[in-house]
Amino acid sequence: MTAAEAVLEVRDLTVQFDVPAGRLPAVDGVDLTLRTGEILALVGESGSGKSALSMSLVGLNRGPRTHVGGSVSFRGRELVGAPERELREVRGKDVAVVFQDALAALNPLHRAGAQVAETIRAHADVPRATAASRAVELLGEVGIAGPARAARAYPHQLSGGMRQRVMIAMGLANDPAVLIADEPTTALDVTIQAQVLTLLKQVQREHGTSVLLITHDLGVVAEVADRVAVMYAGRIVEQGTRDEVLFDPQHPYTMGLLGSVPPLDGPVPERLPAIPGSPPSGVERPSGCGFQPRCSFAHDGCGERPALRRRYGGTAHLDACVLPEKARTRARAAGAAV
Amino acid sequence: MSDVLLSTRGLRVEYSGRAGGRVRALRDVDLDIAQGETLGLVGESGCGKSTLGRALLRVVEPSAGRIDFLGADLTRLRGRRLRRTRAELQMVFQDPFGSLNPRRRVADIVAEPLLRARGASRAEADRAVAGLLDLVGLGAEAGGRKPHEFSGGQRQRIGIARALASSPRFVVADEAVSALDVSIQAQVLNLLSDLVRDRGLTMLFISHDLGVVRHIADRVAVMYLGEIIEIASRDDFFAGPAHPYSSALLASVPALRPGPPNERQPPQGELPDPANPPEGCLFRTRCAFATDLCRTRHPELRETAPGRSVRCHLPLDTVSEDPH
Repeated sequence: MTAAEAVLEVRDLTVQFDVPAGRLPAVDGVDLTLRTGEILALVGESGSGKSALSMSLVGLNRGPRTHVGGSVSFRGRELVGAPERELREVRGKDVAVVFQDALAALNPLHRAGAQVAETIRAHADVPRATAASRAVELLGEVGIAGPARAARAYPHQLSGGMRQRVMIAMGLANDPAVLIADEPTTALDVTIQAQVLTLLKQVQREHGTSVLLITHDLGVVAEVADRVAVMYAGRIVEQGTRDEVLFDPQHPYTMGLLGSVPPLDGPVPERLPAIPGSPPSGVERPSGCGFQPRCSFAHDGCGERPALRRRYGGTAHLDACVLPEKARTRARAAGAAV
Repeated sequence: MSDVLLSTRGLRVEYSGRAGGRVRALRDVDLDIAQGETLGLVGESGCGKSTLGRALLRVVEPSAGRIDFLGADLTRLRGRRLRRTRAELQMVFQDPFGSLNPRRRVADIVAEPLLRARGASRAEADRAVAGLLDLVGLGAEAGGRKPHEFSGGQRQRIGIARALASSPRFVVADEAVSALDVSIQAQVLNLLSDLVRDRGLTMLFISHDLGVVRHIADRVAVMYLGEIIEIASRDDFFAGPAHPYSSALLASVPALRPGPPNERQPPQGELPDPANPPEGCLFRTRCAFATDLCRTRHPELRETAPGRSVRCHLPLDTVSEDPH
């Protein structure tokens, strides 16, 4: 990979929260590269650290109880520890964020169009009227039928799908290089989700926007992602192309996760090969591999923290598991994988 | 159908709309649920699937129609007979956080339906609770703790133990695994299928997740704007839905399969305002196959093949490939 391909580079990122019991290691040394024009899916379950990671990329979870370490570089510009004024400039202009809960993210007192226009004017010196008409255009581009009418509506007058489109329109207002979408379709019904996913792909294709998609839904990943990073207990445990990670998983957690999804076609299994136990939630983390307490293949070697490393020669399919190849083949045969 | 345990005829639930009109949340639902089956009920927000589940338990009051269960019309039961019948009908809720009283011990939460609906003694209840907590994989010692000490998946197990406490014949599971992470969801789904099999439970399994429904249900019913629009066996349904809405719904689910992703056509537009539904077929405003007939005449739910009923003038088997 050449440096020119990387638009956002994360190196050894740590995020810790002060909680009554001590320090919660939400993100525990993550390396991640978002390449220009790709959709990279960051997958994980509750508490995996995927949202803490995405928030930290543009300094959205600063505060006295949050400790962020490591490096996030946007086209060579360091964002960790950058002054708030500088981050505000980056946010919305270069790196835009779309949240799951559009109703909470939108201002209930302002009309949808005005909020889009405001985002435009925050980063570009254009007359109010120009911004307003550009806002209506953007609402049309994100697939809202009757964009002029939608622009005059207040958020509560719009449906969930429409509100999410308004959020995406705001995200696109300044043609950002990077769109961070945190569970953007999770609150939506499946037919509306399909429309919004189609829109995300269209944005990537037509604007060349790089998208970091944070999701727990492996179907969504299969549908839109070019590459996938799987997160567990604050660390990336596997990373590769969509096909590598979803259809040739290497890490026992990825295998277990995929096996837990009830399939939509093929034979209906009598029982789902569920992963026993639950993910760590407190401040205490196992030393060594974080998945070890739930892993059916754990052995003595798992007491040391595994590095995210390349398994095969030429590819960039990485995983953090010390399991020997033979045991891994057994794991797959045990039906943990799809 | 043989051995019908619960059936509804013309079941209707109406709410007062914001503009003063009546919103029909359930439109004259006719449904037969067989003894021992799991019926999956699917549809999008606002389709009435939760309202149907709640109406069966009389948590919401039907405004018309009847619910036949164990020889009585549930809509007419009052007082002690209603309480006694309620012991046979229990519910597992979606939200494992909101549906358990945080101040009470788990043992008391689980015992409540036994004490209230079955009139069990405290000692009987305590014995039963220990067994139930074992059954759902928590262990009897969980009884002394409070709900907040448990994870989401464990709380859902508590909710299941409570629902089973009065030994009901019929359980409504309303999005019972939807709030759980997928690895935990699989554990709870396995538990539910074991319980249904071992205890001969009949279950109405309400979910927006078609993969989960395919895993657990024997039959599938699809709702749209308060109506059942298709009902079929699980295998028939997933092999090829006959209602254009069912088909669009299934096609919208992002599928975890290799090869290039679906270049699919999501259904057009959004759900119409339930207070102001279209004339004729309720789905016609989003249907790629709608004709003049669909604009004028409301289709009946009719049997198109053995075990399959569809509310459509032109069910998909009879529609030509090209809509235009």
